[in-house]
Amino acid sequence: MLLACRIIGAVALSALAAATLTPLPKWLASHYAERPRLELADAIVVLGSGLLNDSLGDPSLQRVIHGIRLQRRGLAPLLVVTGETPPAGPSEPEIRARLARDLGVPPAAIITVGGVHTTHEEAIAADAALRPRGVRSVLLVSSSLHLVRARKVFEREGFQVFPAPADNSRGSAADGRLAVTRALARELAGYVYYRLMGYF
Amino acid sequence: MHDVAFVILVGLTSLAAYLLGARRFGLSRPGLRAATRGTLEAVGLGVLFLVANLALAALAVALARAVRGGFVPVYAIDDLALLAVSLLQGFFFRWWRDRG
Repeated sequence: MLLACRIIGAVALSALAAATLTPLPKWLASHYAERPRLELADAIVVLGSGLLNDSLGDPSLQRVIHGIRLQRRGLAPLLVVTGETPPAGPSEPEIRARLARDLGVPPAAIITVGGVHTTHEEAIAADAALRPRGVRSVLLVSSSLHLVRARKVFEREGFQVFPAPADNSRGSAADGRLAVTRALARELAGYVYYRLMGYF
Repeated sequence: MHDVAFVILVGLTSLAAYLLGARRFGLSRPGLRAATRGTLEAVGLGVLFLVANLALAALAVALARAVRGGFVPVYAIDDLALLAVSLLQGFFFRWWRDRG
């Protein structure tokens, strides 16, 4: 028993050293991540990332800003913002829609899709909102790691997907590499879970 | 540069601790080997605690979703504090085993 624990401990410490002191996490993440493919589409779908104290967290803000920039560049006429709806207060899509209007996106071009918690729910809700409008191709905005799973789920719903990653550089320090390792592990777990659930 | 400083920093404090232990407190080399083995075992136990904690938390999330019918985010269990506490559990259990 203790020998097995010793081996597990040695492997864990080696993995920790590789994750913090070597470029391995960034190399793995860059190979796993979805590459941008910015083409003309019917709509831009900005996936949710959750609220933080009733306001947009960094990833949510980063994604919606990227989506607004793509819309203002004329890559698609519609901007779809998705996200959670808390029991009280404004929802993530409402806050994002307000920001988009403030930054010059015409109100008629903004579609909010609220009450969704997972990527799978976002894909289904986006399909329900966009199919009547004849939207079949979308520029999908999320983090480059999340987009691997999200693209497959949206393709399963019948969309033609052009990935539009909105990432920030997490830096090259040890804690930055650890954050990349954690994000990668989380996404791989999510990928396996979605695969097992038959979402794509 | 940051990484080199990181390694040097940890290396220097480890060396200082070794010199202090060996010269000031008269600690032995076999004792150092045993401490290394003990640390690896404690970390290994910590990993096992982490797996158990994650599995239990995932089960709790699944049960909460089934019972409440609402959404309970699985990201709730994605917390670095869980790693720290699991390692603490590992070290605690290892010491307990030593003391019988």
